[in-house]
Amino acid sequence: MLHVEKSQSINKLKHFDWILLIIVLALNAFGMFIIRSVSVQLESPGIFIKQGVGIALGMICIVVLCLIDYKDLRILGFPAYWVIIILLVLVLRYGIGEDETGSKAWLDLGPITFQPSELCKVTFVLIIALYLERIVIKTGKFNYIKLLFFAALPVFLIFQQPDYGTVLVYGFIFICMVFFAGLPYKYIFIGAGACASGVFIVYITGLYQLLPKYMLNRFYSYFNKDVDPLGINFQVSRAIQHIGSGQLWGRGWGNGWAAERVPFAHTDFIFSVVAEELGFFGASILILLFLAFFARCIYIAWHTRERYGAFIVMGLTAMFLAHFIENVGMNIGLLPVTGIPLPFISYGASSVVSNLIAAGIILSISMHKERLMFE
Amino acid sequence: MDPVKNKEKEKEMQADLKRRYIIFFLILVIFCGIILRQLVDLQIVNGKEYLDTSTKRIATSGVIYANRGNIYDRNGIPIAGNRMGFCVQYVDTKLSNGEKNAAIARLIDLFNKNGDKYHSTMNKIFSFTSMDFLINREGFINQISISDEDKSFLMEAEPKEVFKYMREKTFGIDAQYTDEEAYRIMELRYEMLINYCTISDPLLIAEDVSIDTVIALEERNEEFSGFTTYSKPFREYYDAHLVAHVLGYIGSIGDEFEEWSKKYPRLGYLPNDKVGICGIERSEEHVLRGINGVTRKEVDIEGRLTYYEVVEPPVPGQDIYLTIDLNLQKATYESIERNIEIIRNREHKKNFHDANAAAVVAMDVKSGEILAMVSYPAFDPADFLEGNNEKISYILNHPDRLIFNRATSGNYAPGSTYKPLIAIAALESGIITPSQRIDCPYTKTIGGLVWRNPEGNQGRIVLEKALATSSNMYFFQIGFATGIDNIVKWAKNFGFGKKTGIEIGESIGAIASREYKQVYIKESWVPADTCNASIGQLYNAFTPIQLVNYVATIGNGGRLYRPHLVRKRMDASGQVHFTEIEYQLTTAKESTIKAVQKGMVAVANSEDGTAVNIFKDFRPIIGEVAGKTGTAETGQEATSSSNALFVCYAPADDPEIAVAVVVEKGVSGAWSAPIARDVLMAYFNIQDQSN
Repeated sequence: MLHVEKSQSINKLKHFDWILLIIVLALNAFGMFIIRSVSVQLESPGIFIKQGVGIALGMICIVVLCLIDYKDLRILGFPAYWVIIILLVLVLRYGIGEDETGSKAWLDLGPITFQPSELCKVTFVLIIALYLERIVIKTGKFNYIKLLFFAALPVFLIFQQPDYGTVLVYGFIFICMVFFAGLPYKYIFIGAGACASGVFIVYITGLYQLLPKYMLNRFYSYFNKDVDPLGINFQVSRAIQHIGSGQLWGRGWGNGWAAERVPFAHTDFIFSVVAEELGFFGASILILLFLAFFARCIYIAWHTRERYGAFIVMGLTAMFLAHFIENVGMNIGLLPVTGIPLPFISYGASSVVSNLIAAGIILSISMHKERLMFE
Repeated sequence: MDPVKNKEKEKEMQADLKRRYIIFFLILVIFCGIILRQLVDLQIVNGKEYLDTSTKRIATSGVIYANRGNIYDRNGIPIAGNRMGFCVQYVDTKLSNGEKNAAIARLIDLFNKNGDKYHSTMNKIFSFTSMDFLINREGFINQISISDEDKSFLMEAEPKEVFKYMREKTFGIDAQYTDEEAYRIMELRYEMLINYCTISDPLLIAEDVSIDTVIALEERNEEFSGFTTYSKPFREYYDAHLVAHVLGYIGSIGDEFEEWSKKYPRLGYLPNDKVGICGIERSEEHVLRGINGVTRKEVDIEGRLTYYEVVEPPVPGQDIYLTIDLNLQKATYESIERNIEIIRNREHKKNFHDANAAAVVAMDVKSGEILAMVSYPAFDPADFLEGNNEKISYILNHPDRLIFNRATSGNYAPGSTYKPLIAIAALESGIITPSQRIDCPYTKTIGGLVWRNPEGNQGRIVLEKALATSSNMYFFQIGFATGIDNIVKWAKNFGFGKKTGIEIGESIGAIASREYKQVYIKESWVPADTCNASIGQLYNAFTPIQLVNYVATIGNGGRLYRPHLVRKRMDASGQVHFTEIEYQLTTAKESTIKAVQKGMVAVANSEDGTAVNIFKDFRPIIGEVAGKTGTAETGQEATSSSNALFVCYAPADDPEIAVAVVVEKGVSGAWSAPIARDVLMAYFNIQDQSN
C-alpha cells in the first residue's frame, strides 16, 4: 500500500524557492538570447519561435507542478512512468531519426517532433527515488528487485533505439542516486575498480570490436585527432576554433560564424556560439549560472528532511549535471561527441519542456518539503 | 525499536548524507574548474590565433590552368595556340542585401561599359521584355519564395507581382533602381541564390572578360566585395578553316567527364573543362592537355585574397607539329573551291551541275606523312570557341554536313581507280602477263551476262593500254578470271577494308566480297558480281585516305605506310618526340608493281590516256606523273552526277607525293584531275605556264 503524508504548512509560498526560479529563468533567457542570434544568422525565425513556445509550455508545467504536492508523485509517478514507457515502445516502432547514428528517438506528431527519452529521465528519477526511499526506511517487499526492474526497463528500450549517449546519462543518474541513498563507500570503490578493469579487459581482448561501427568511429576520432572517419573532429575542431576566436569579450551578439559553420550549432554545439559571440566573459557567466543552479538544488536537497524529496532533487540534479558536463565537455574537445543537448540553452522543445518539468518538480519540493527539525 | 537509538541513527544518517552532498558539490566545482581552465586556454591564451585562423585565413586550394599544347604545321606555322583571358568569380559575403545589390549594379555597369557577357539562367525562366514565365514556374517559385505561405501565393500570382515580390522580398532591391536595372541585378542575385558560392566552390560569373574590367575590379576591390578575378588560358585558332577537319575543335567535357577522368586520372579533369571533340584536338587530347597546377589561397571574410602560394606548378601540354604543310593545304583548299565552281559550270550531258563536296588527301609516299587533307565544304573551328550558338547550329545542321570529315570517313565507290589493284591481283595470280594481249570487243558474255565496253571494240590490247584507256572490257575479263577471293585478298593487302591507322577518326570502308554480300545483302555471290567489282563498283566503298595510301603503295613499290598527321611532339623542356614511321610490306612482286606503274604513267602520258593533257607541262620540270581516273556511279545517275575520282603519284620514276581526289557529283574522273594538278604544282613549286 502506498502511504502519502502531506505537509501541513499553510503559507506554501513562503517556502517557495524564488532563487532557483530566478536562476532557471535566467538560464532560459540566456538560451533565448543566443537562439535568437542563431535564428537570425540561419535565417530561420522558426527555431526562435518554437523555443519560445517550448519555454512557455514548460512554465505552465512548473505552475501545475507547484500546485501539486510532490508527495502525490509517489502515486502519480506510476501512470506517468508507464505512459512514457508506452511512448518509448511506440518510438521503437514508429520513431524517426535525425542523425548519423541511425538512432530513431523522435515521435512525429505533425507540426512538432517529440523525444520521449528526454521526459523519461524525469519519470525514471521519480520511480528510482520511491524505491530507494523504501529500501532506506525498510518498508515493502522485493524492493531491490523492483528497483532494478523499473530502472532497467527504460534503459533497455532506449538501448534499442539505439541512443547510447542517453543510456550513459541514465547510468550516471542511477549511480548518483544510489550514492545519496547511502551506498557504502567501499562498494563505490569496488564498483569503480570493476569498471576500470572491465574497460581494460575489453580493450585487451578486443571485445570492443563488437560495438556498433559509429561508436567505434567516435572513440577512434576522439583518440586519433588526425584521422576522422565521421568528420567529427571536423565538427569539434570547428567548434574549438570558433570558441577560441571569441577571446575575452566575444565577437558580439550575431557577429559570430559558428552558427553557420559548425554543424548542429543550434542544438548540440550551441555552446560554441555562446563562447564565440559572448567570449570567455559570457561563457563564464553561463557556467557560473549553472554552478549556482546546482548549488541551489543541493541546498534544497540539504534542507529537505524527507528522503523521497531529497532523492528526487539529487536525481534531477545529477541529470542536469550529466548533460552540462558532457555537452560543454564535447564542445571544448574534452569529451567524445554524443547527442546530448545543453539544458535550457540548446534548441529543442522536448528538451526544454522536460528540463522545465524537472525544475518544476524541484521547485515543488522546495515549497512542500518539511523543514528539518533541528533547523 | 528504541526511539533514542533510532533518533541517533537518523542523525548519523543525516550527517552522512550531508557529507555526500559536500562531496558531490566539490566534484561539481572541480568539473567547472576544468571547463573554465580549458576555456582560458582556448579563449585567452590561444584566442588570438583562433581568431586569425577563423577570419583572415580561410584557406582553400585553387587551380592554375595548364596551357593546352600549341599546334603547328610541319614548318612551324601556328594553327592553334592560347591566349590569357580573365574570369570573374564570386564568393558569398556577409554583406546586407543593399550592399550586395549595389556591388552587383556597379559590376553590371562595368560589364556593359566594356562589352562583357555574363551568365544568366534567370532570363531563360523569366523574361523581362515580355514580363512572363518562359517555362513552368514551379521550381523557380520554390527557389525565390522566402516562406511557404508566399509560395502558394506566387504560384497563382501575375508575373508582374512575382517580379515585384522578387524585387522587394527575395532580393530587397532599393527603389532607386529602375525595373530593368533591378532585373539585371536579380539575374546575378539569382545565380548566387541557386549555386554554392563558397571559397572552395566559387560561382563563375563571367568568362573571358576584358582587361579593363579586370583592372577596375582589382583597383576598386572594396567596391566589389566577394568578386575576384583569375586568369586562365583560352584556346585560339588561326586560319583554322583550312585545316578544320584535321584540327577538330574543343568543347565542354559535359557527359564525357567520367569517361575522360577514368581514362586519364593523372590529368585531373574538372567538370567544367573543355576537351577535344574531334580531329587532332581529340585524338591527341592526352598529349595536348597539361596537368593543372595547385595553389593555396587564403581569403578573408570579405572574400579578398590575403595569401597566395603555388603548391604545384602547372605542367603545360605538349606542342604538336603536324605533318600538314599549311601552304599546300591552302593551295589544295583553294583549288577545290575553284574547281568545284568550274565543274558545276561545265556542259556535259551527264552533268547535273550539282557538284558540292570534295575530299583531297596528299601523302608523302616514303613516310606516310599526310601533307594536305581537305574535306570540303569545311567550317571554322573558331566558331566553336566563341560559343556563338547561331554559328554552331548553322555548322551542325548544314545539309552538306560541314562537320563530316570526308577525307577519312567518307565512303566512295572507287570506280576505275580500283583497276590497278585488279591488275595486281591478276598478275600475282598468274592470270595474265604484262605483255599478254586480251581481246576487248564491244560486247561479250561473261558470267552469264552480256557486258558492253564503253570504249567500243578495242581489239587485242595489253595491260598498259587497258589502264591508259580504262578499258572496262579488259578488267571484266581478267577480274572474272582472277576470281573475287583473289581480288579481296589483294585489296586487303593494299589497305582497303581496314583502318589505315591515322590518328583521327576514320571509316574502314567496304570491299565487295562474298562475305559482305552474305552479311549485308543476305544473298549469295553470283559470277557477274565479280565483273562489277572489277571496275570498282558494287559494294566497294573506300575512303580517300585509303585511296591515297593505296596509290602511294603502288608508287613506292609495295610499302603500305601508316598514314599519320602528327610529325612530332615537343614537351615543355624542349624535348622532341618524332612519330615513328611504320609500314607493312605487300607481297606483290617487283615486276607486277612495275607493270601497273607503267600503266598508270600511260594514263597521264600516252596519247589515249584518260588524263593525258593535264600534266603534260610537268614533264620537263619534275618528270612524268602516274595516275588513274575514276568515274564512280552512285546509283542515282538519273537525277545526279557521278562521283569523280583521281589518284596519282609523282614523279613517276622516284615518287615523293601521292594524291587522292574525290569530287562528289564531279561527273567525270578526268574533271577532278586539275585539283591534283594544283596540289602537285604547289608541292613542287611549279609556276603555271598555261596562262
